[in-house]
Amino acid sequence: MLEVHNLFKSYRGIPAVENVSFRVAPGEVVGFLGPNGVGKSTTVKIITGLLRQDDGFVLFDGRDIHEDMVSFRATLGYVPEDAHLYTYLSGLEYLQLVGRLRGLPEALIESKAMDLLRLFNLDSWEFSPISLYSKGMRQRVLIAASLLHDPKLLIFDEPLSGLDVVSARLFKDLLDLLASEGKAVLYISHVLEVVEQICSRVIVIAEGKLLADAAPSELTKLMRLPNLESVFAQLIQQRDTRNQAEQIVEVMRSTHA
Amino acid sequence: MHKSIERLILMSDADVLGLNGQAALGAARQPERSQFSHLLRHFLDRFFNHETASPDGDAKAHMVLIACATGLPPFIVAIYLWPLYHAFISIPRPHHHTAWVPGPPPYWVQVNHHFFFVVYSFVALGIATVFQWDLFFPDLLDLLVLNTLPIPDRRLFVARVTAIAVLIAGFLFDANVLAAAVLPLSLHPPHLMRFLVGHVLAVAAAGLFAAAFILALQGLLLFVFGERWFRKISLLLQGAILAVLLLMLLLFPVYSGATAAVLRSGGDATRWFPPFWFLGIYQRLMEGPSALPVYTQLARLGCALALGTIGLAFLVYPLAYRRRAFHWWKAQTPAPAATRWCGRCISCFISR
Repeated sequence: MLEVHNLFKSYRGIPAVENVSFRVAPGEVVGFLGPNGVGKSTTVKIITGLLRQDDGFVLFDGRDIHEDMVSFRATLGYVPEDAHLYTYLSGLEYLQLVGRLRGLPEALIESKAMDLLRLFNLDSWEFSPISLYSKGMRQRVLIAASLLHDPKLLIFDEPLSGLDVVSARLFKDLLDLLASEGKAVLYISHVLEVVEQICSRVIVIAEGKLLADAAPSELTKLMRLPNLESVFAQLIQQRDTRNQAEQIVEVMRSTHA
Repeated sequence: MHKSIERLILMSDADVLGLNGQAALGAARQPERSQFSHLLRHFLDRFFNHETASPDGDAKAHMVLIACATGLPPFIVAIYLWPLYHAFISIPRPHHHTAWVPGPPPYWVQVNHHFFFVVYSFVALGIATVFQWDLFFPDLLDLLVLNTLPIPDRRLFVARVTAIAVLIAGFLFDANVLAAAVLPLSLHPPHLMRFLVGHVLAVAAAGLFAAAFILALQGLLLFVFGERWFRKISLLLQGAILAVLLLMLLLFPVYSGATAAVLRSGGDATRWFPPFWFLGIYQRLMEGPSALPVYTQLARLGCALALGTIGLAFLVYPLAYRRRAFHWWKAQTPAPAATRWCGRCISCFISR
């Protein structure tokens, strides 16, 4: 189980994350929501060990992740927001590299990599360099790489970005199955319909603070709102977007300084 | 008949597979290697998979081209020298009654021949180091890919340092091995072992000094000025170093004419032009105690400065590595509006 306790992180004195606490249990898909720049990515980077918090702690299976970061990373599958890949490698070579650096046996890497590429519809591209891949294909390579070692904890940061409709549907089904396999999944997304469909619980964060942590149905019931999107808008006190859009069009149309 | 030879001659019982059959077998499986070994190979791959070394991504083809381009020039020069050192070719001697006298070239011409190989090794290693400049320290891609994998930080660091050492050793070998193999035949030195030891040590020291100097300079600038200022001066510095190195090689026929005069005078010029130090090592080891005193002085200076520079590179590299890694960590974080110290002071003052 992943437990985040009173996480605090500031950048040059300005708090980015303040006292954020939540849990992700095995078999749970937890949605992590919030507008841009409110501390979601900072929280995720702290959980993956890419950043160090100023205060608070992150436990995995009851142990502080910083006690043994290498063992923690061995149980972690992470799909980052941006597809950072070695573009001179092919999809197969990238999976082989990740598998080897994770210490998997060669025979297992070979069979798993080939199977995953086939199942993610990348088999006809397996020998082509990633530089030739589309955004969606790169995203599929990242998802395949995150699953290669059968991780206990999965963190997906905007995994649907660039995916086509079929791949997005496949991913939703995959999340469902991963949860039934007992994996703990933290899912960061802005696509609220998807979050509402697949997440058993959602965490809403704004200005570095935790605003809500409950099941989507509970939130909508509690706040007497029709869907998660309305709940989200209410929670983060979203501005009048219609009015803002009208102002943008006004600026676009203007011909005088 | 030996079994291995028998196996070659006897026909195999297995069917010959068609191309489709061979393709269906899949790629040849790699042997099991340690994580360190995979990291090392990964960093070495990256050296030859960047835009300068491999614009179209065919790294292996470019590696072969780079190896040939680096190794062939001194090899060809070594072959060109062969006729000059063999008796059936005559060397023109000025102010002599007979215009052509057979024999090896005069002493200072021989010194210049040795000098060329020292300069070449210096320039080749310097250029190789400048070309790989950006990959000696971790970049954002490595940070985001490798730091989410179960790899200890120390292993990442040691693997990168080993990859740099392998790269420099590889270039050093490539730039000098062919010439070192041919030169004893071409120059026909009176003391073969002394010549070989002098040649190998001098070109190795010249190359290592050039690589270590550039690495130490890069590390020092990165550590002292930080990433932002380093980025600003990096391209300019790379261009300047490259220009100096190319001039050093291309103007060799010009300044080598002054070698004798400069070395005889033992003036400051010898102390400010590094290849002279390594020429000192070359001549001192080759000629033994009978070498000119200036060679002993230059050899001492060369040894001390080469070891000092390598030591400095080893000292500065971890500090610069840490600073670069810290920069990328910071780059991962948003920069708030009030980041300047004066802004922070004002906000503190107002909040009180």
